[in-house]
Amino acid sequence: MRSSARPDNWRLSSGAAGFDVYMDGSEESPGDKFYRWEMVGVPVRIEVGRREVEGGYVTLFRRDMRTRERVKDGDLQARIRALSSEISENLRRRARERLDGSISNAASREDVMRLAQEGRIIRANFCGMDECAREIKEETGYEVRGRRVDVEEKPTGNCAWCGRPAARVVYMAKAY
Amino acid sequence: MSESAPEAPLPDKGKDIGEWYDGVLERAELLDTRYGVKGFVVYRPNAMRIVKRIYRMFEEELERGGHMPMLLPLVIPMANFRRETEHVKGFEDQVFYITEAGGKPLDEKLIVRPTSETAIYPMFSLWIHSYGDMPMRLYQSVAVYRHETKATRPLLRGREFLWIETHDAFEDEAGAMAQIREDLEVARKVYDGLGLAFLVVEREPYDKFPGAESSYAYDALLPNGNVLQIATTHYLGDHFTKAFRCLVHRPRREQQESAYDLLRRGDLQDPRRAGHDAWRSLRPRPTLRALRPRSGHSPDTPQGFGR
Repeated sequence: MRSSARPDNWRLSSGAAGFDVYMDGSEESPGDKFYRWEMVGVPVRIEVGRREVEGGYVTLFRRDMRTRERVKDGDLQARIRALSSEISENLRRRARERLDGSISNAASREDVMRLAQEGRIIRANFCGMDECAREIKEETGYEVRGRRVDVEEKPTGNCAWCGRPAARVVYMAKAY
Repeated sequence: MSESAPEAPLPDKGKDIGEWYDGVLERAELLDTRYGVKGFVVYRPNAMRIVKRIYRMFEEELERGGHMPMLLPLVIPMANFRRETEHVKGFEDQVFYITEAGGKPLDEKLIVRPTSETAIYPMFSLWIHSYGDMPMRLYQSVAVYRHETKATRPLLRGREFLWIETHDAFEDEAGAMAQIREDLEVARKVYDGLGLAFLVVEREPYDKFPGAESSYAYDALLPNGNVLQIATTHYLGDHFTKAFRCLVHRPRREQQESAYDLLRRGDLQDPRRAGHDAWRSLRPRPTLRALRPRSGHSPDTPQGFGR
C-alpha cells in the first residue's frame, strides 16, 4: 500500500476555514483511497467523482457515523464546519457514555473481586490504608486510583475491602 | 464503488487491544518502531501533525491563563538533581546519566531530564526575589527521558516521550491551589476537545509524584476497560523551594528588619501522558527558618511514579 505522505497527495491548505485539506489525486480506486484515509483518521471526506461533477454537488462522508450526504458546492464550508462540531460532540458523548457505563459500585470484598473479574471500574468506600490498596492489587490486579476532585463524594459506609470506617470514596481500575 | 480493504481488518479493540493498537500505529502511518533503540520511536508526519495540534491546544489555553513559554536545557547537573530527597528516590532508578564527553569523564556529571523541577528551581531562586515577582507561570513543550524497566509500548510507555510541563510559583498555598484548579480546567477543555472521557482524581498519598504534597490526575478509559493516566498536576508545597533555597525578600518596616520567606508554590504539568502538575508552596513559616541549612528531610511522601 502506498504511503499517504506521497507527493501526489496534495496538501491544499490549512485553509481560511481553519481545516487541513488534503487531496488524493492518485489513480487508485476509490475504495483503496477511502480505506487509506479512513485508517489515517480523517474525520470528513469530500468525494468528487463524475456523478458529483455532473450533478453540481459533492458527497460528504463522516467517519464517526460512516454516513454520506450530498452537499451543494456553495454550502460546503458551512456544512463542514457544522460537521466538525457534530463529530466532536458525538465522540465526546460516546466516550462519556462508555465511561459512565463502565463504573459499578462495590459494597463488599466479594463485589470488588467480582467486578474486577468483569473488568469494571469500581467505585467504593475506602479506608485509605496502604495495606488495603496493596492487598487489592495483589488479589485483583486493580489499583486504587484515588478520589474524584471534580465531584464531591462522601463515603456512606465502611471500607468495601476491610470493613473499617471509610475515609473516602475511591475509584479502582486496572491500569495500563 | 466497493470499499474493499486491502488488508485484513484490525481485531476488535475491546478484545485484543494490543494488536489493534499496533495495527493502528502502523496503518495510520503514525510511528515507525524500527529505530532500533528500545523505548524510542520515530514520529512520522501523521503523528507529528496530531502532536503539534495537541500542543497548540494546550499552549493556547495555558497562555490565556498567563503562562509564558520557556525552554530549559535537556541536562541537569547531578548535584541539583539530588537536592530534593523524595524526588531523587522516585526518579534515580530511571534516569539516564551523562558521565563522559570528548573521551574524558566529566567533572560534573549530568542527568538527562526525566522531568524538569530540578532544572527550573535553581532558576526560580535567581529570578524570584520579592512577592512582586509572583505569580510566575512558565511552560515548555519538550521530550523527557525515563529508563522504563517495564515493557515499553509506543506512546504509552516509552523511554522518550513528549509532554508539556508547566512550572509555577505562588506567594501562598491559596494561589497554588487556585492554579491547580485552573490546570484541571485547562486539561478538561483540551481533552473535551479531543473527545476523551476521563476521571479526575486526587491520587492516594503513597501514589504521589516524588516530592509532591499532593497529586491530581486524569485517568482515561482505554478500549479494553483499563485506565491510562493522561495528565497530572502536583502541589509541591515548599519541598523544592526549600531544597533550592528559593527565598523572597520581605521588608518589614515596623520591625526594621528584613526577612526572607520561602517561595510558595504550586507546580507543573505534562500533557502527553497528558499531563500536568501544578506547584505551590507552603503555608507561612517562621521567616528565618529558610536561611538555615536544610535538614534533609521531607515530611511526607513515599514515592510513586509521577508521570
